[in-house]
Amino acid sequence: MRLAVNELRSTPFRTLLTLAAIAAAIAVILVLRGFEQGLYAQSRSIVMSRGADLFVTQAGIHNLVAARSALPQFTRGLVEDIPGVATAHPLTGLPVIYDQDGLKTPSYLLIYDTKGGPNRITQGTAARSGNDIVLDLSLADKYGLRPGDTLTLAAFDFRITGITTGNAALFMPFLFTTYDGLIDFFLDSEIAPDLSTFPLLSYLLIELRPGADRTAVAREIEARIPEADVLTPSQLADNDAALGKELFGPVMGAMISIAYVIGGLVVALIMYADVRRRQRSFAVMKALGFSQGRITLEIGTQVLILVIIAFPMGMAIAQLMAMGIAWWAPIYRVLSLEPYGLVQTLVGLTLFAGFGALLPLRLVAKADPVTAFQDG
Amino acid sequence: MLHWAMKSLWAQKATLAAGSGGVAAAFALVLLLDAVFAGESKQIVAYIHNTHPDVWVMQRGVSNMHMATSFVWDWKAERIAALPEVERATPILYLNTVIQAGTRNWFAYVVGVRPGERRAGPWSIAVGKGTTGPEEIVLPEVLARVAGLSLGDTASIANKRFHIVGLSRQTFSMANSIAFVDFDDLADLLSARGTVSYILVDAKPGHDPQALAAKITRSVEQVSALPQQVFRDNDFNMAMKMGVEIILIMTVIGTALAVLIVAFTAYSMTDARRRELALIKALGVPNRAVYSAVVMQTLTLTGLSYVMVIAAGAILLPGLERLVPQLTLEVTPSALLRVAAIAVGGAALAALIPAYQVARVDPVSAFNR
Amino acid sequence: MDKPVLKADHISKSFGQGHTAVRAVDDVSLAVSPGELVLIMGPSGSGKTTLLSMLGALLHPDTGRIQLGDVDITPLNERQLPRIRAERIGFIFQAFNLLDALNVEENILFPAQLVAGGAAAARPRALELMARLRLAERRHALPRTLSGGEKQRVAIARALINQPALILADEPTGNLDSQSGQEVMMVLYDIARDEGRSIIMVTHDPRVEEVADRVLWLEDGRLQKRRASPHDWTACPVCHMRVDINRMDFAAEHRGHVYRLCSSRCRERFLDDPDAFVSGSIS
Repeated sequence: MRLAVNELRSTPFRTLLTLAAIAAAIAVILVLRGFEQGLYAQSRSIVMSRGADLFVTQAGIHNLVAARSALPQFTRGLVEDIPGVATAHPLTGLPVIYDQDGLKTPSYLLIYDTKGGPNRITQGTAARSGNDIVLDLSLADKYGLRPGDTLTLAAFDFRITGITTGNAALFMPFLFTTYDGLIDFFLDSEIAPDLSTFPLLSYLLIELRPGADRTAVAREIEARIPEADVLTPSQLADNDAALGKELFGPVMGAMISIAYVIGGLVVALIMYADVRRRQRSFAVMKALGFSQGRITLEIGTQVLILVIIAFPMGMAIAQLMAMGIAWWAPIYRVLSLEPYGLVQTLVGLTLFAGFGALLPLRLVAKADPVTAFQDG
Repeated sequence: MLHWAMKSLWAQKATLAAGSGGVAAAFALVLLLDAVFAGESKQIVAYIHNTHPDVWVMQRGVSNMHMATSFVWDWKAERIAALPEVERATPILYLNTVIQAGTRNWFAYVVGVRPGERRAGPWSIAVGKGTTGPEEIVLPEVLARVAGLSLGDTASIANKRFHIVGLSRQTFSMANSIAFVDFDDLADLLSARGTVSYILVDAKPGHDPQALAAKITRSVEQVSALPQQVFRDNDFNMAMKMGVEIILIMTVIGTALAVLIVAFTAYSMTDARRRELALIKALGVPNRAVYSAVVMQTLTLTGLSYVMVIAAGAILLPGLERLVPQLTLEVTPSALLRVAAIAVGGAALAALIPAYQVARVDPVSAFNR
Repeated sequence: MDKPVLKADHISKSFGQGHTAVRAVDDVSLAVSPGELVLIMGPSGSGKTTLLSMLGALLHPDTGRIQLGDVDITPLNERQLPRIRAERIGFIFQAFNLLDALNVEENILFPAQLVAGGAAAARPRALELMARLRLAERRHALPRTLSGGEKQRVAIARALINQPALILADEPTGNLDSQSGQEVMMVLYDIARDEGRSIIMVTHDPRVEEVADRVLWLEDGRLQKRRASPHDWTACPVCHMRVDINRMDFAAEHRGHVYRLCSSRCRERFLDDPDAFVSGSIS
């Protein structure tokens, strides 16, 4: 242990460069993991932020994002008649493509009435009148839009009243308008030829009376309205996160695996160079009676020390990168410091690092104690 | 010097292998993400590309298919079909939604095709039939394989169950698989009787699609008509642009990693050769020649990594696509060029650290015993 | 006398500053004629390598001038000196310093790329040198497969490839067994005699003195007259270890006598109770 520490202290520049290389590999793994986790968290957050006790969806539709749910208009009245239900707030989701000078961004328009509107408004206010709209910072930044500006969707002009943060999922920014806005939007832009084809009601956000049994209310709604399913916010959020995982999991998994390989190779490279440089020292150690196992232990200790010191450095770099990404491209959320991810990365990288450190052991085996007697 | 630089690089095979392997992996990070977006973008336009009508007609104000909603009265298809330049007008219903198949959900384009209509249906069938009747569905072959389904099994859209009657080729992608159902079934699901989403228009021979699109836009109210190429490019470019930022982020990360690894490898190699560098300087080799040798070494390292990643890609990609069929990968020339530029720029940048070492090597140390 | 190949006038070199300053070479002057084999001998730490480095245009003297042939190299900078080294000086090192990745022939030809004509023009000479130094059979061998004697012969061939007027050899036999050392010395002697090249050699090997034209004694950075015996022994009054009066730093005075001690520890013990040690000591 002492030998490993002294060895690292004796060559500060090399140690610093080594730590930087390992920290960079750790940071990349953490950022990629954080990117994946952020993707899922965004999907969950969109659902959880709507403020509902229960969600009513079209039967068979169990997602908020990337699904088309259409509930009959009479559903709201039926639901509000059920004991335990305080209010059923309507919510409609509509995929739209925002197009400004040919630069198009698939977005998701949420139409709300009394609940489920924009949260985390950082600039301006929520939508009030018919053509007011609130949009996420990621869309606003991309097009340089600010409160007071006009935002045109399908030839209908909205007025931006507010900017939110953290309202994006699956690479899609969210926009919020009221049902007044939706009707105006529909009538003015003639986006649909007939009101009947237009999904005026996608979801109901249920607010329960105090003390109401959530499970019982859900069962009762499903029993009375066969066209509807009821989900808790967590269930709906989990479904959206799972969809995100199904869509992007394989790619992120492949990229994180590559990052681990890079981490392992970086450690292998470092240890190979280090062992090669210290081959004479190992010969001397052998001459002094150190066994191959003991020397291997020294190398392993050194790797462990390096990884442990580099880990907080990697965390710091990852956090800086996450902040840079959030500033530059707010559509992405990078959760690089999640405890589970940190532990998994530490264990994973230590394993890869251990493997990397094994590669140069051949050189240690070749270190001949006789050379200790030879001139340097 | 060049000869020595190359032989010296080759003599440190393990360092060279680990270094170039690390850099190749960093390049792979950049290429993989780019390939995913290019592959997905290509697959997003697979339906447009393979059905290939001359003109696409849709609701006014709509100019895409991906993530778009379009409704047009169904009689407009008949009016378009009656135009003298039009050979055929094929309406479809279309919905971007989630299909439940096997134990999981699949985000998909669902296309509603009229009974017996082959023009707008699947273009390549692996098993079963390519047309659908009521409560029938044609799914991508890959989706069915991953979901463990075969002909006769069922899949659901919303709460409606469909029997799988055919499995199609070239219709799978991670973000947008394509499923085909009966037109009326989808109309029921959309509550959209009497409407269509898009009309695929084939022009009579000799008629220019651009002119035909303009004529349709003029003569049929409240529709947009776009030539095939424009419509395809709209979706492809939008899909690619969705990935621009993340690809750029990954390019920056990959580049930084590559530079760091090359710098470290070159540093280690130079460090291991300090004595030789002292000798070389003592023998009269000027510093600039030694710098050039170091740059040549870093260039060779990144060049080797570049070759490694391309070779690995050529060998592994077909297998990877079979192993992880959810991945649709497309390595584009622009991505290869970008990585080549990273390789050259990164090598030059990474050479700065060993160059600093070289400058510090004292030729007098050649006398060290 | 022929015009000297090398002329050094009053050159000095110090390292460090203030109380840690060490004058490694102190006002040394020498001239070496064509074909002359000059030995520089002296105790360890006497400044031999520093002197050799300055003569080899690797180190600037603090004061004095060095002339290589008709070129005063003292004012030349680091951009100009490499060319001088490549064209006019051949180096031979105790540790051979062959380039590990290059084979025998490539090592020999390495400096040739630095002069007009390049390696291609030098190839016939490389073949001739390999034949002469009995390396022809080993021309494709890598340094790690060579014996010590072979390595040093390769280093000699490399030093000769550009036909420099001056060869600087630093302990060329230091890492060799007796027979190989003898062989290398004879090769160097032949080079000086047959090719008219000047050789300055730093060595501790007394056998070389017989074939040298001149032997210079460097001690404490200065060229000095060599003592008949380099040592003047006495015994440490505390531990009775043998100490050299001329080189010993630890001394103490007691009752009018100066006593030489082997170490600071013995000096401290002596000063604690000098009378316990003085009887029977040699002062």
